[in-house]
Amino acid sequence: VIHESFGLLGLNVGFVVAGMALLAGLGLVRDWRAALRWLPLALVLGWAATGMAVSVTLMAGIGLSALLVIVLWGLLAGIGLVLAQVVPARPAPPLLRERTLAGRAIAGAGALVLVFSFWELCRRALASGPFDNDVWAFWLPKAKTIAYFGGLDTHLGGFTSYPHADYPPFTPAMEAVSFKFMAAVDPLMLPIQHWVLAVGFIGALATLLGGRVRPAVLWPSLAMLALIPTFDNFVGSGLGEEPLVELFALAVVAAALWLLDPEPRTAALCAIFLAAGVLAKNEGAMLAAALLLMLIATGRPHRHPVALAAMIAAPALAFASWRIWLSANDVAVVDRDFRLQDIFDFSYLGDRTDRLRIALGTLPRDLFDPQYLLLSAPLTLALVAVLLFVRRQVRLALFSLGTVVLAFFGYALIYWIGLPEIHFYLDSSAIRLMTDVGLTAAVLFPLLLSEALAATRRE
Amino acid sequence: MRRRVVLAACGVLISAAVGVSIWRIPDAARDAQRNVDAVAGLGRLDRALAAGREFDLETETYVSAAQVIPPGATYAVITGTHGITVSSQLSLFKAPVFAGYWLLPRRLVADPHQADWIYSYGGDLSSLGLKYKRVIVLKPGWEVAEVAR
Repeated sequence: VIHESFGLLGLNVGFVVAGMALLAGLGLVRDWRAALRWLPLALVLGWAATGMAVSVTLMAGIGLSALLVIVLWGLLAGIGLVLAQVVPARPAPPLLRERTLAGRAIAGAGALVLVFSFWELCRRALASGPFDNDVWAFWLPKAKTIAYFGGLDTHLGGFTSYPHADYPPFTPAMEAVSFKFMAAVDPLMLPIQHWVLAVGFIGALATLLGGRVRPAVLWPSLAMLALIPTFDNFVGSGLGEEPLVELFALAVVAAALWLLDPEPRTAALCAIFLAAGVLAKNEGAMLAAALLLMLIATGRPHRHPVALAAMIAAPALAFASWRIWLSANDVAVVDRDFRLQDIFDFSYLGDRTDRLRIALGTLPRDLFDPQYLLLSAPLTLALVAVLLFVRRQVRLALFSLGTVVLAFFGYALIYWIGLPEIHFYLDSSAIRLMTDVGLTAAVLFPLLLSEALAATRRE
Repeated sequence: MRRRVVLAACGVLISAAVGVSIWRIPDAARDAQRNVDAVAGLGRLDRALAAGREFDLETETYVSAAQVIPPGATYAVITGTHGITVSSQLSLFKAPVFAGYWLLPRRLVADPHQADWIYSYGGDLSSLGLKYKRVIVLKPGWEVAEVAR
């Protein structure tokens, strides 16, 4: 176990190095102080970029090994360092501070609760394993096939012979990378790695939002996020939804910051996280489309065509690469959840309106149930209403509202066109999928609250 | 007036956020403790097999099968109630799924005629019409057979 722990430590150091180089390339990190501030974002950015790079190399037929991952880190670091030569430094806005004792006390209390939730998540991770049905039925076996057979094996008993052969490879590929660095196919160590990434995820949110949201709002909001029951269930589970929800939430925050300050750097971060999300799970494409539609609707596309084009191109290329690989390898998918083309088959949709009715009756209950998602969605929607009421940051408010609503109806649409029996489908997946929507709302909460509170000061 | 309305709204929303977070804290601790208790006393092997035991699978036969079937070989799983009793049909449904997880890097195939080995979970080896080099009884009712080519 100690040997495996050191392997995971090395893996995370590699993520940080690759992520830090990319942040240097974006002009955000040029000195040690900035490096320290952006450390959590460097971890998750390095993880996302490594996951994409590994997925693409696997699709290209290159066998996975620890050496390959190290070479990919070298390439990513090289790209970052070359960019750093041409991209000017642009330090992020300084982290906001609390001036009053009360403000510091509230921020401190929030941070304490956050530390408590990390502790509890760590205890859960240490006691966790491949317990979820989907994890041992296909997510983990797919990861094992990559680790044992060296790639996306299409032969009998290989990667594509497990259920949901059309699910993209990011999640199993990154589990396989962990196996390679541990030098052991030990599923019991994976939850610890997931916990490290979850801590990095929340830390990355803190570093991204810390320049715009005061600590008394930020830390309690992040503590609330870390306490969301379904998020806690995801951490260490090994489900594909776990990386998807984290990657998409980071993309949402980067996009929201880009709306407030159309900086190409935040657009680049959004593009990377969206593309990684598309490779994490099929639903990632729908979520990316929801976010991008709202960015086009609210982000003055005529003023920033290049940034928007990049944000569209990255997930589109990720989506296309996986579809091409599936097609090139004639992968037969016998247990498809839905067929995308059915969205345009109006007679098919008309015959299945009862599915939509049932889904729309179930999904809001899950989304608004505090036992699953606390009050993340209703609180965020209420803050959107407040901002629209005072006409402050209307674009941000509409982006937040639209992304949450489109993601929700996107999932309702999937249930509408879905192939599995509707009650079984909802029972087995609705809470998981609503976690994507709820967490999207939760990460927007501190930003929206911060703007709403600012409105009370200005008037 | 508008400022007061916004301030009041923010106050309500912050109170709700704080309230629901405080309400969740004891549950977060209880959830973690429940996970810890669920695996208390289990060794690493038992934890890795816990998912199968949830469906009443005879997980030790999978461990034995992994010692017999060589890595890289193909195998098929047949199920039934020959010489065994199962708590539910779900166990038989999950038996090959668990094999797909546990027995890697052996390759699970659906068609026994494409397999080098058969892992029988209460199945009837004679019904497949195959010839076997050897049949190893892992436990009465659970067998592994090497197919003769």
